[in-house]
Amino acid sequence: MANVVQAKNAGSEDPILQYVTFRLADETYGINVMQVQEVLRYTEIAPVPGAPAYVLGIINLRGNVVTVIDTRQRFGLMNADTTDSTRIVIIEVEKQVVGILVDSVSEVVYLRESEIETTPNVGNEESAKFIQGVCNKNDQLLILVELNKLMSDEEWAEVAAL
Amino acid sequence: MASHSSNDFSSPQEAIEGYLEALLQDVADYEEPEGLQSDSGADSTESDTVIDVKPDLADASGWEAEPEDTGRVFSPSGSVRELSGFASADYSPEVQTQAATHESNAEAPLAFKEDAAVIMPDLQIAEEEITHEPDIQISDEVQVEDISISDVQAEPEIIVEDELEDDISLEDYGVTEDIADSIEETETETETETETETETETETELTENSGWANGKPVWAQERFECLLFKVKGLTLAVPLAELGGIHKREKDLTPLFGQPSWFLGIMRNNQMNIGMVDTAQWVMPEYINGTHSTDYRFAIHIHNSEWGLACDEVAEAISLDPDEVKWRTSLGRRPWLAGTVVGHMCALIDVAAFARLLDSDKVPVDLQSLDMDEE
Repeated sequence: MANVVQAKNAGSEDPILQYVTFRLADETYGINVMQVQEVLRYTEIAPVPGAPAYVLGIINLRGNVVTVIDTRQRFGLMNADTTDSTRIVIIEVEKQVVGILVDSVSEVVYLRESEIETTPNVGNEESAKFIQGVCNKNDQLLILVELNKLMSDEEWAEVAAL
Repeated sequence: MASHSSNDFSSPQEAIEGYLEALLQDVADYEEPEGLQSDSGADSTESDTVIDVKPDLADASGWEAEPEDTGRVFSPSGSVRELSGFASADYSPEVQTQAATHESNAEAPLAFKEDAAVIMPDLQIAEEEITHEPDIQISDEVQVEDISISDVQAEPEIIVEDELEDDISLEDYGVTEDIADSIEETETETETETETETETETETELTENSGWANGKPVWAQERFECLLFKVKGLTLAVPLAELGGIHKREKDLTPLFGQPSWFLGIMRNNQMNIGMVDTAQWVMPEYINGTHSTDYRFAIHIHNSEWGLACDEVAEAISLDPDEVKWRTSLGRRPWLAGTVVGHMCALIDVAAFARLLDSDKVPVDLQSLDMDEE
């Protein structure tokens, strides 16, 4: 019994986290599973005139309008064509539901918090703040993205106004 | 910095020669103050402006016993800007030493005039080549006289201050605040004068990097081992004392978005993450264009840091005597450069300073624009 309690405490000190991994420009990224609502196949995205550059457009998700964010643009990556693997990950951030366009969705991985390592941050671009850390999983480095910092408060308000 | 128009690295030898030539030129520039302060005869081939002149003056007049900076001031570069530079940086030690010898001697100014008179024939001889000689001569005399007068005045003023401070109760005798203010002003003036003198003395010490002693890194106080490695044809050296390890790049790096172009990504090796730095962009940004290959094979891991210097080839380990290295004398714009090893035609990297720079908030993002700005 004591052992069980001890294990529980140890677990609380170093909690196990679940991350949904997706691919973007040949790299693997992870986002907290608690912020992911669902993963959609690529559907046509209706562009919104006058929308910010990081907004690809909107989609109709079971009667609800969801804004889709251009993740590549947000991460400062080159544009790419959509493929059969392209997915729209519906996430909930800052009490808003938005979609992010990714090249593919891989799996859900379990990570211990202690396994997350900090990264050198030498860039002064805004996008550098999105990176929560990296984690070595299955012999590859997983870049963990902090979705809350994906956009500033003003930008979230801008998205909400669309 | 000498600029080379060619940016392609198809000719590594060309890249090496061009770079080291420029690098050594930079180091020579940095060493000028120290050379002026310490010895008079050495490094006669270091300075651009002095090199051509000094032998002529020495040969013409044979004034070997003369202080070197008098010869430097009369260099035929003709540029007022250069002369003012010499005056500010080079004259202070000279003035201090002469002021010390003639500290309480009222003949000190006369001694300077005698020097100038002795130099005059040399200038006349050199006049055939120099067109702006009168300007140079006048500015030099004024500077010497000004500085010597300030030195002479400094001592009596300090004595007066002490007296006045002792007599602060003179306010009772009607000493106004204005007088006290003027005393304070003169006090601060003398302080600033003496401060500027001491600043020039300690200038090299302030700019010297931490982890250095006696003008060289701590690890280079005695004979030390270095590892040579090549980046885009250029040979670089790192001290084994600060080498964390050599990692072979076996798979693609993991790039992180939002980072500068010189940060290639993360390399996972031996259960550790190493941030790979594009060494070529740091060492020779003027040769790097946007499309240069970053297909480096190795990473030179800096000891006690998370950084690695990307390189194409790891060469050999050599043993160096500290005297074989032309050490940098100030941080300059290349704090990562410990010095150059002419015998091996390579630059010696101060990896600890490099790691400190990378970890600092002041690490530059765009190295090429930085280089252009400083040019």
